[in-house]
Amino acid sequence: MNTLLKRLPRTIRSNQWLVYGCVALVVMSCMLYVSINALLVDISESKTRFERESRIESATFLPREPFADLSTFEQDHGFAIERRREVDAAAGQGLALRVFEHTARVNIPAITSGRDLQADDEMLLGQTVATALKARLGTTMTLLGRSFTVVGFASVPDYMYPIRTTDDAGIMLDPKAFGIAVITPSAMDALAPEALATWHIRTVDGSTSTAKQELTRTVGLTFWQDLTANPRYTLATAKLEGAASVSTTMPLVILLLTCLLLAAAQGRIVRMQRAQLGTLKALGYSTWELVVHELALPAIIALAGSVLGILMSILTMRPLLDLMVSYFSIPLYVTTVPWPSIIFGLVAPVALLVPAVALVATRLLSQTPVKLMQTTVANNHVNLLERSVHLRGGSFRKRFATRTAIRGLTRLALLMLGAMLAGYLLLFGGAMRDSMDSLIRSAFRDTTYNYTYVLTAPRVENPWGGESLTIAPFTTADGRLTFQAMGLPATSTLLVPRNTKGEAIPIDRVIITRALADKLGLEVGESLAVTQTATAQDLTLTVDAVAEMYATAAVILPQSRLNSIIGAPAGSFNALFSTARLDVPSQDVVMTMSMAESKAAFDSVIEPVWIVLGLIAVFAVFIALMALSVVTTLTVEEERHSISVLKVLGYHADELNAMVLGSGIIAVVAGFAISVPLLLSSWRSLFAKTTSTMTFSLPIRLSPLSILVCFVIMLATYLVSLRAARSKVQSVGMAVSLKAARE
Amino acid sequence: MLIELGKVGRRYRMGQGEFWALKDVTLGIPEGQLVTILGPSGSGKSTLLNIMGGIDRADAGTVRVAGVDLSHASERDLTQFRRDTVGFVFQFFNLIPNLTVRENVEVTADIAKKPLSIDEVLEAVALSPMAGRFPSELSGGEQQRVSLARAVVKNPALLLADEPTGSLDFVTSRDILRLLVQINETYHTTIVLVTHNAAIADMTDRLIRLRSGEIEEDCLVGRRIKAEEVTW
Ligand SMILES: Nc1ncnc2c1ncn2[C@@H]1O[C@H](COP(=O)(O)OP(=O)(O)O)[C@@H](O)[C@H]1O
Ligand SMILES: [Mg+2]
Repeated sequence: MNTLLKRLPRTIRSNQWLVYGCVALVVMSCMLYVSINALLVDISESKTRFERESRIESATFLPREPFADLSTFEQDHGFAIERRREVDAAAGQGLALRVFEHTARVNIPAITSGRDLQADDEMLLGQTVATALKARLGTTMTLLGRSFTVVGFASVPDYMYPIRTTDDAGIMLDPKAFGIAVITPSAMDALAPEALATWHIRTVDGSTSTAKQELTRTVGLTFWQDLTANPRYTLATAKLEGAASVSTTMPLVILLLTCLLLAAAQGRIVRMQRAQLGTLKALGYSTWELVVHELALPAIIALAGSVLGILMSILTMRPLLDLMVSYFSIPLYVTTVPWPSIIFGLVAPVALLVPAVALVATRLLSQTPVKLMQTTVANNHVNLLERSVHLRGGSFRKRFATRTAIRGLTRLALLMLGAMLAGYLLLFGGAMRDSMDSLIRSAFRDTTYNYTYVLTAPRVENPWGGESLTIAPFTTADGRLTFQAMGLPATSTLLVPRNTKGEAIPIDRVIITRALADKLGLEVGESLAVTQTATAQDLTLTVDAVAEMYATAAVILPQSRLNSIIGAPAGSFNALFSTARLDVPSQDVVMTMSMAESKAAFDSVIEPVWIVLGLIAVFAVFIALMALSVVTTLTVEEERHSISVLKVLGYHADELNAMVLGSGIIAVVAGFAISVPLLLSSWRSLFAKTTSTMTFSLPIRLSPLSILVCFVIMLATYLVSLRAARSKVQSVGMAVSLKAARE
Repeated sequence: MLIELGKVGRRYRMGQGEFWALKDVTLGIPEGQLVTILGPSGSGKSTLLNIMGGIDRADAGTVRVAGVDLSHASERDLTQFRRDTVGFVFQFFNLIPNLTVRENVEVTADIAKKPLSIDEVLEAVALSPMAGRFPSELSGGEQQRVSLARAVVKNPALLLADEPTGSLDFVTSRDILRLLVQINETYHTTIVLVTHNAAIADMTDRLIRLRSGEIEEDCLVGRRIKAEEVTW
């Protein structure tokens, strides 16, 4: 056994590229898997710690009467209650900041960089807006006429997802237009003594029912909102979960596919040595000893790859984390080593590769030594195929190429698997681009208005112009999704729902957007149970049509019908669409939103998903390249002997290349062709999950152009790896065929 | 008897039908005998030898070698048998290409019960100066000497050589034959030598002639000539 082990370093040296290629494949897929998992573990743990250390509220409320003895009340029930004042201030360049006073017991701002407040002329700027504006510490901002120096960036737990209003069902974040800031309480006294004050309560276990009861009994309540009903908190959670589900599934799939490909490649390396193994068996080595021996290389490849991959992921963790954190507006408390995913990343390649190779080796070695030494890689079944092809004649060269292809039928299957993996990974990037593109186009195609005004109260007269409509928020029966119902007049021109053929759907029926249909799995004719968010009134609608709108989950109804559902006066409206800015007095508007704003907001929601996917796509190209080159290198290795013989017979390098490697192209094309439907179907299920709590739905699109581009990239990749393989064909010595003819 | 074969048959499937490469082969070989199996190409010589060495299985009859019933032995017992009892020399040498000469010999010494000294064996086949070379750096005759050393180092009771000179020139062949005889005489090793070269039979104790898978002739050679005297 000892002597036999000496083969190992030599085998590695003589198959350098193959071995390095395999190791690199494992390194990359392990690194991707571990990094992404670590990232999400750290971010979600940071979120948990953020909530604990910043003492996130359990609910926000407004008391009807002042507290007689607040601290006794708190002590009696184990509550922490704190009042916080806030005021909105313009900070220039279209940016509005919601300025809070610094709290000490509930919703304590967490410093993400810089330091905490020490003086009254200092402020903390929200991390999200700081990232969006690329703000620097030390800059000065003027808020309500007073100047403040930014000494730190911070996140406030109940504004984790910092949006201006929560009654807008679109609920989009535009970090360049709105953000938060924190100043000292005495600065608040001076700045805006009459600022709006809200109350925040933190209970011991986070449950709020007793707190609500006690408060109602003691001081009475005019407003109450549980944390779990606060979109500024729940949307942050949704965003994190969304990114998490894409980014744990994809790397896992990539890791498993890589292991599958490598197991196949390693199995072939074992088969290549069948004559040697047969000889060793004849010399008295047992099947078991030889199998164990053959497992050394795959084990080394798997372990070296996973250890290196994990080390690299640990090294790149910090910069990646810093990047991600800025998108989630959560302070980074935790940079732990994610043991479960590290252990999985370490174990999975070995655990998949070694048994697979063991299986191949055991099956191979269960044959008699004679059989192992006698026959070549081909088995009888393939011989039959070979013979039938032989009959067709043609030039020898053509026949050789065909025969190489048929003899290596399983090898072609391997190449196809490699091409499939590569194609899948490349198309991943393409599909991502196309889907986003079509999402954004659909979002802004059917809407020809530029401004939306939401009014404080329903009106019958419209002195301002624009197209009037009625909107009201609804929630699904399970409470998971809140969306807008839009009551449109039949004459609506600024918002025209369209079907798949692009034809306008008349507004005399219940129309749901594609985003809503996807999320709730609804089809035409099915019914939809909803609750009116404002009144908690239940309602069931029957879907009559689906409009191809992916960007917003919404129901479109005739205006008169919605008015009667929500109990608004007949012929009234509470919102306006307009192409131009309207002069609606500010006291009459709850919210104005421009299209540019909503596009920016939309981009900011999708951004973390984009970044994670982009990261995966970059890895994908590398993995694709490696996968293909491993398979082509293997091809040359397996045909070494024939190549050598043919060289002796006087064949030129070009002719040999075409003969040995020529047949691969079919497999590459076939593999790619299979990867297209594979990608589309796996993506559909993946994204259905990811966006289920977001208000948009992702149309899965893959344009012919993207397919073409991916195909060209893959072909180029294949040709590059062929070129490498070619130089290997050239380096095959002629003596191989003459000496040690049956090694 | 070291080897006892009773009505041994070996069948190959050929497309739909079948074909017996060995038919009713019955013979016994005592310890220490140097036997030649002679026959035209395709007559079943290798098949017979492989069955004796436990690297192939008979489809009919009984095979007993060194007290082991090879026709009914388990995979494990067969391995143990090959490990302890037989040494092989192949026509195409079958050396392990990425092991040096010395290591190729060591590979069998590692698993043998009472191996001979590797250096002595290499010395005996005159390979000591080349111990560090790889098989691809050796001539055919040299490779076959490595193969011989590899078979002999474990001091097997039975040495099986399948056309050991089949791919070698005359002078080199005689060298190998001389070594075989020397092994037979020094260690009292039973040797079965397969060849299609009739001249070689003169230097052995016994001649078994095969034709189409059957024993055509089985006779003792009157007077064994020296390996150096063999010519063809
Ligand atoms: N694996 C096999 N499958 C089918 N036929 C075989 C196989 N091995 C050997 N044979 C046939 O068995 C016969 C005997 O072969 P072999 O013992 O190798 O002959 P020899 O060594 O005398 O030249 C030959 O006709 C050969 O074609
Ligand atoms: Mg033969």
